[in-house]
Amino acid sequence: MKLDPEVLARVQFAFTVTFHIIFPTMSIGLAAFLMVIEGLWLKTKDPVYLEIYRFWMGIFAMGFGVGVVTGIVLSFEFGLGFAKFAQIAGPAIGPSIGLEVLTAFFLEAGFLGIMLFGLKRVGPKLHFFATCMVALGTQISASWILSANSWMQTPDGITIENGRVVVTNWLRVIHNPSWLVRLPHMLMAAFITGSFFVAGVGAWYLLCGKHENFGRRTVSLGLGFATVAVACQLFVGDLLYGRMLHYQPSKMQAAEGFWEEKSASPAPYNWIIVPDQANQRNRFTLATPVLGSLWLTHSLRGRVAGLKNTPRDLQPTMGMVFYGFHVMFTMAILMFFMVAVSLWLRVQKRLFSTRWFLRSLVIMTPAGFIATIAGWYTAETGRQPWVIWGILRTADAVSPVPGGAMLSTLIAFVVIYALFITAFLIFAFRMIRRGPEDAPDHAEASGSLMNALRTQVMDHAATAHPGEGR
Amino acid sequence: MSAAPFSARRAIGVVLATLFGFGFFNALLGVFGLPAAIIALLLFISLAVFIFLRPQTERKQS
Repeated sequence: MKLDPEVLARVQFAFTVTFHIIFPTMSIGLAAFLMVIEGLWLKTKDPVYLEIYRFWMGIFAMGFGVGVVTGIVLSFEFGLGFAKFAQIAGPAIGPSIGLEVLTAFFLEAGFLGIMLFGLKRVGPKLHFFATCMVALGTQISASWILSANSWMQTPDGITIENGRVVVTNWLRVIHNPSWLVRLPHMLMAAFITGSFFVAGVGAWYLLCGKHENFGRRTVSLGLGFATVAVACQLFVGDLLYGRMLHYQPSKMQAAEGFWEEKSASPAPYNWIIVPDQANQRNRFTLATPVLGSLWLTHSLRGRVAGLKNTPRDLQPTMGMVFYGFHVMFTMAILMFFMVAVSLWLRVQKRLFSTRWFLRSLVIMTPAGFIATIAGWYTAETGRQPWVIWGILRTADAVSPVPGGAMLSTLIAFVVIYALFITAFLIFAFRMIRRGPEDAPDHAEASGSLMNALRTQVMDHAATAHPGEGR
Repeated sequence: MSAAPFSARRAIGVVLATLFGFGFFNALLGVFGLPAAIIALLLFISLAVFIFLRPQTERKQS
């Protein structure tokens, strides 16, 4: 069997980046949530806020750690799988990644220790400042990475000399045409992810009938943040849609599942399609009439452009882009429904007692993660066949590495990341099952992984600090 | 748990709330133009904050 290094390099990067994005999304969302919670605690001195802070700080710390480790791997993968990309685009991309380390990582590294271990060692205001700096660091980090990725989507401020990118205007490289819309889109996604995560865990406690004060407060706050963030996300998402329609029309043509140069008028909105790329048609379509014109052209009779507007050799694979976009959008609709219903239930004063809603919230706990991953699939698969839009094709960016080497590293990543996710899930579920009352004041070293996996250690930690800080 | 019996008034309320929500959703998506989207966003957030800040009697049960 002949192994295609290009396919393997893409699968490997897709796998590692899919795994990675879960954790920074959670870190950005939870860091902002922790900042608000600690601020509320300082203002009100209500011990429930401190309990919420201590509980979520533990999960944030784990997610942050896995996020950093899996993020570093991605930089190395530029060399491993896409060395030609690194060689050609390094002058534009490299400084952004370097500046991320210099500005965001240094800020986070400086204050993370105070945040995790300093609750009883420094004053409350200094501790709050540290939490704010960590939250700011996660957002600065996202800014640089989004700037680099947005430059790959909408490159600007460069010329090509001797087959290499030469920067002519740094400001335009960083502040490229899609960055200032994609950045808030990603930040909102992170806030929504964190909010639904928090609300889902709180809803689970309420359904189980334990930690009710904690559960009510987290459901209330989580849904409060989610309500604002989901509304902002719909607004920003539409702005981004318009921007991408202008700069990357083939991506949006594929995302909507139309083939013909102009759709019927009024255009339907496609929910499910079975695309046939070879024959440039859909074998099956499930759609709602008129809604396509309304949502995509903002008129009742507007026509939607299809993928045949793009030459075949420059078309992305419709199925991947379409389902990436539609999973994200469907999640957005469900999340909007949830926050709208939460407002109604709040008015009715039934938010914490409507069991079907609490069950739905538990089911929606991973909704933000799913939407974020689907959104990134849309962004990345929709950019194909380019790795840098209009400048460098993905096929030309791959390292001259044998397929076997690429496959062996892919297997290694799958095995190692499976261990990571298993460990994260075991500890996260254990912390959630254990509940907020036993959460320690600060992160604790257990000595070894074996010790950490022993329940007794957790039980000991819980009994060693009875009632502290409450 | 809410166990209120089904009534025409309640059904009308559900339909109106759904239409209201669908209208907001479309406005936020920019269907009625950018100025309407900005107004809808501000209205929605104001409404959410207003409802959020109302006292919740359920909290007193704890």
